[in-house]
Amino acid sequence: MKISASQIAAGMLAVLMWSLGVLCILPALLMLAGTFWHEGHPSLAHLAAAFSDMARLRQLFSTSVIVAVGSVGTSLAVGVPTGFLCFRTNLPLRRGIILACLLASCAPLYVTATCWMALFGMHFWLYSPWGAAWITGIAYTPLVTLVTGMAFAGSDRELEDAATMDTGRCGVFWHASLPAGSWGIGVAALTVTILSLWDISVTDILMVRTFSEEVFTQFQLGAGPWNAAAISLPVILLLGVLWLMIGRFVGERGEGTLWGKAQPPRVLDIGPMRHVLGVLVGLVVVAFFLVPACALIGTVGSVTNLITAWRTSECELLGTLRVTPVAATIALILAIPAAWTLTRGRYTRWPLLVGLLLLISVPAPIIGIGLIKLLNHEGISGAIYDSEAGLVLAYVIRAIPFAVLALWPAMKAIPREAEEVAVLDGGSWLMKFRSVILPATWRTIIVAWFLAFVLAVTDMGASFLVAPPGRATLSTRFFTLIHYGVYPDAAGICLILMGLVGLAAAIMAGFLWPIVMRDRGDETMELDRT
Amino acid sequence: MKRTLRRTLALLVVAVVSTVFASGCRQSRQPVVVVYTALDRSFSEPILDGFEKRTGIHVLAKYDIEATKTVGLVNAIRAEKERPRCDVFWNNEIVNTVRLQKEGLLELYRASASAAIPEEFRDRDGYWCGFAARARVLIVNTNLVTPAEMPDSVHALADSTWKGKTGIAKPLFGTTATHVACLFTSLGREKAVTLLNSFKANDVKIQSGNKAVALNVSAGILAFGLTDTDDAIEEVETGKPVTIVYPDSRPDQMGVLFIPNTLALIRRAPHPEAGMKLIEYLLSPDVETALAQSQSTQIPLNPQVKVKARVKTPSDVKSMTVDFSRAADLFDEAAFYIEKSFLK
Repeated sequence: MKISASQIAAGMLAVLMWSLGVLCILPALLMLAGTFWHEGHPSLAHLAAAFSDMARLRQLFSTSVIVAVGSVGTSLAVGVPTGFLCFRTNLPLRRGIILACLLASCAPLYVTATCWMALFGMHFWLYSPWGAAWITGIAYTPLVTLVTGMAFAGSDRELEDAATMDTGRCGVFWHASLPAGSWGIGVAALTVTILSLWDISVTDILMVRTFSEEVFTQFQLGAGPWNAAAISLPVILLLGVLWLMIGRFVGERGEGTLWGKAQPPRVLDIGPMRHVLGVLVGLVVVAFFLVPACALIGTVGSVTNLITAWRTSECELLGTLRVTPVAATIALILAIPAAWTLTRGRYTRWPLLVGLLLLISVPAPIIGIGLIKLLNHEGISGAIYDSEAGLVLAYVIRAIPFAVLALWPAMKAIPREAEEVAVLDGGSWLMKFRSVILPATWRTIIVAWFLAFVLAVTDMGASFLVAPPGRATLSTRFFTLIHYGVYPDAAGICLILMGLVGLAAAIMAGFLWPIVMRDRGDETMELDRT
Repeated sequence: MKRTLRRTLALLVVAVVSTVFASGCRQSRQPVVVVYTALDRSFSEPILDGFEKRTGIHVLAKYDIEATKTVGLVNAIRAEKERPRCDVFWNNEIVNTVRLQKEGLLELYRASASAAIPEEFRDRDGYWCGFAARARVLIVNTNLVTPAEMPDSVHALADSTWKGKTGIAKPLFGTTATHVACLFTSLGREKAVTLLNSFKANDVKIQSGNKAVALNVSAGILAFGLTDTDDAIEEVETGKPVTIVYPDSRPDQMGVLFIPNTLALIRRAPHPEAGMKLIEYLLSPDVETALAQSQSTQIPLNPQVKVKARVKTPSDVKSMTVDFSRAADLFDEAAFYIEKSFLK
């Protein structure tokens, strides 16, 4: 049988991507395997040492759960309705609100905490698990808004039109719109849970002791990184359960229809309520975003301070902005086939699920140590470790699971008929991607890229360890400055970062908006009054 | 058209990836030295820039993060031991440096400039040398604490008058961890545990770092707390209602703990000669003078440095006599106690 050049190229590309994927999972596997190895033989010594004080660990874990649950509750309660209103209705000022969410998503978590501290000062209500939950929830609300909004924007028009025949506005929302957006809610909830469980920046600033601090505690006890890696095992179990629940939910979701997925959903006219809701959502955005942002601007104080902030952190800012889009793009390129494999794969699905679970469950500093142990050898791997490629790899490892989470449900919803047509036409996977997958998921791909980008910019635990000397990351710079209080330099860097991302988002929106508007046309659906 | 677009995109991708990879392939002939420094960047960077200007050796520095002081750098050095990337470890405390020495990760190098440093602040074998110290002090809010109530010892943290109104930084990290290990060495395990238990019983507030202790005392949230001179002096010099007390400085007390910065050459460092030059430079009187005059107010240990320190030095107050090597040996025991009993 003659094999064509394009088939060879496709095969080589598949091998390269699988190799990169395995490379991403290896650090976590290496560190977890090491927890069951002691003095040259298999042993549970590290686990016994790490979990020798169960009472204390239980207390820390329960504090972490409070922070996680509170964060998810806060961010979903505000983010989901805001996302629906902004992306599916004719809410006034929705474009401005979406832009505000985009900018706010780029602010690292510890910056949001600092904004609120600047606003309220050192009051004890903030310095508690519930205060940490509030801060974390508010910080992730813009991201939840964007993710859930994009999910609602992918609703099946046929299903919604059918629902209007039988039920009123609430019924349409409950039976058609909400199920369509539920994957976004699930993805957002799992993302916020994972990020808040392992975050140490906010809880450290607010002096709340959580399970994530235990990783650093175990490091300091001098038993090597293995005890610290062992600490992640309960979190792996917890997140594994959540991961399986999400996976089952996505698996049970019906695929869309060919016609329904080919048409964008209608814009819902919320009638005279639009002005009231517009003011309400606007007030929420003002409270959650503009007020802390004004506190930041007040802290900067002057243009001179802003310029000083730029000058003192220019290397970190430009270096991070040079590397993180590359990392986000690589993460996306790997996430697309991974998400497709989860959707259509049979034998490769479960190993992939386990690999992704490890990547989200193992704490960032452990991943960092794992990367050092994997790469820091003579030869090509050493060259990678010595360059920014090691840093890119750390960012990719942190971002891939979330990009897959974002893409998976959208790919699941692609009708099999569309895929079969492409196969019958004799096209390669690349052609199938261009003609079937991309048109159905381009919005989600943008969300996934943005999610990966934000996670890369704000990562600290892994990138700090792996960053080559002379190459400090922006998050390291931020955290060091912020730990000394709200200083103009730290506030200035945050404003510059938000400004640069806002500019990029505005340019992107300028290209995409006409396409979105052309697709939507002026079809507005008035919710039936039956 | 499409082919041209594809080729252009492919070239762009290759260019970006090459830029990323090439950043590690240093073809330049300029000599380099790699330093991992735990001293805050704002204080150490100007010093390192001065070295670069003077010698032409390009300095590649890696700085630590405040919250988990030294843990990141120390563990990076441990993880990189098969192929070290660091030449010089500039630690802002001493115990972790000694721990690295005991793990065989340091290279023997007796700098000529180290001869001027007092013996108690350098390794007798020559694996590390201390310089530019900080003192462990009490920062006291003068609006909340009257002169008659002024604490004069770390034991005051257990005074029930101030229950819930005193603070220390996380005792497992940074200079506070060093202080705990030194208490285990100076007082003995039993007395040190009794003292720390009394802190816990008195609801001493655990802060995220020494700076947080200083800020919270200045703000009046705490009456007083244990911190370092560099964090305390900033609050004093910015006009906050605080004062610095050098605890246990009476002749019948254990003395004030002075914790030096430490310098060490890493074993199998990639640029050992450049590393040695950096160590010689950092131990010079000029550097200690600069650090003493900076905002960090580091205390010169070299008697040749004549600058007037803005804080008290071992010449001005009774200093604690500590065997830092023994403190490093007891660190694990102290950390174990802190983890099991103190941090509950």
